[in-house]
Amino acid sequence: MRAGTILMALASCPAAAMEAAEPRPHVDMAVSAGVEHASPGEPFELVTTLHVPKGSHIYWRDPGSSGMPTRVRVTAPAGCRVGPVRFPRPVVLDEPSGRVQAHEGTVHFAVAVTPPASWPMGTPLPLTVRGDWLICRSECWLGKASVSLDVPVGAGPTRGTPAGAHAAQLPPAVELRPGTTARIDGGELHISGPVDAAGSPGFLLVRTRGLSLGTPSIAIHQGRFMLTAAVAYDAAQAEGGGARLQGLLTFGDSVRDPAWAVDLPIPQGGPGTAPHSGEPPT
Amino acid sequence: MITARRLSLSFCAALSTILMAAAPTPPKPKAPPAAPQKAAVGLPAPGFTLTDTDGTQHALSDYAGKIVVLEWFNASCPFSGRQSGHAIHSTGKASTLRSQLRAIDPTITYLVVDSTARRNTREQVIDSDKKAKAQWKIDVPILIDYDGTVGRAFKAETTPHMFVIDAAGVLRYQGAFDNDQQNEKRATATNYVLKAVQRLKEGAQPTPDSVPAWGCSVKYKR
Repeated sequence: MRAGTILMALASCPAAAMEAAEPRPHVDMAVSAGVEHASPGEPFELVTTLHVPKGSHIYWRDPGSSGMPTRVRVTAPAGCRVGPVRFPRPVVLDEPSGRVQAHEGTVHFAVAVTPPASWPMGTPLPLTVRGDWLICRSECWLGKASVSLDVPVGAGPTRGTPAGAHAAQLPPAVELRPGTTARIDGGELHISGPVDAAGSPGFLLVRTRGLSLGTPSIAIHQGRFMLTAAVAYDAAQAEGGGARLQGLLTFGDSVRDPAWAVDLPIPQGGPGTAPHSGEPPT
Repeated sequence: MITARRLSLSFCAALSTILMAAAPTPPKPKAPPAAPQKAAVGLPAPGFTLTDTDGTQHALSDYAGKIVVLEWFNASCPFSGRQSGHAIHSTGKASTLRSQLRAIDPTITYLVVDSTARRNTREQVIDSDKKAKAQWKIDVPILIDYDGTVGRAFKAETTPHMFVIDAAGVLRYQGAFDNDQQNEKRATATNYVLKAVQRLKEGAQPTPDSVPAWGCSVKYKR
């Protein structure tokens, strides 16, 4: 593993207006491979770490009532496969203007990268990661950075790195949770499985235009939970693209408590009736 | 004594009822439907009176019969009034929208509202808004909502957060400025406010009528 050189390129946003402007919080970005060396044709985790100063926050992929999703974009040589960005579980903050989903402290994001099967052994894989975020305290600032690194490519088994351990902490797909199922059926989202000692189950939706989810109801019986929420999809309000319901199945209240990624296609013709409860789509 | 006072009150109430019944009934003005306390698409927009950065008062009712566009604003937000590649004012997106709206309907009223209060006095907010108004050539009033009453009535969450009110005073669109928070789509972006006004001028309802707003949170007084 070789840590990327940090090339801080903070967005130039001169404080044009506010007299009482507070100092801009400084965010450090670092990128590391999750393995000591990559292998041609084999996926590995590329981990981007943002160090957010105390008292400030950046935002989850769905920021909530305000903010901007943090973005991590990987540029890789032709023939590489680059997967979607995996976000950690966010903290839910109640702002005077509404609820936001944010990240505080040291935040890790992971992307699966697969070098081409034909990549020459011994030739490092050059990668560049661009990060964009909005950092807020009592004011907000845009930030960005670009980090380049060369990932060694070799043969044979490789060892994980500390970055790989961070990637392993990110919410895995709910399908990997033993005894757990998630589906949309009859206009409702149903997730069921064994309870978790961390606390009650909950669901954090990644909002999509045209999709609305009712307030989940949760029933627990004989060590198993059933989370149910009405799903409505209005294609007229949507903006193209395949309709999917994405979010996190969560347990407990802490960002360190377990969370599992849910990603379900919305059945053709819509999931069914409108939600019976919960906030209307905004 | 108590009995006498009660009798007197009863007499006054009865007399007032008789007088009201006997008085000629004035012609009832065609009153608009009562505005709700909180804004919702399809319902009359909450009424308000606010003072702009130059000290001029503006009431929503002043603009009855016209389409009104409201834009929530914060001079230090990098999506709103601060200089940044994402801000609707410094990138020219807001002035372009105003020009496009005037081309559709020269009578359209566009008002900017600032509910910022956190860490700033009212005077500081007015001062920074005046500077931003001059810097970004904002040729419409910036209304000061320092106590956040109007922002909370409209449920304004972000800067910018846009609202379109039709000529009858009914809220017809609320939400995002456009679908290009990162300012990457540029010419191919959809401006929801423009789209909503175009639909209203065609006699149709805006679609979509609500889109999650993006931007900084409104820095209401805590």
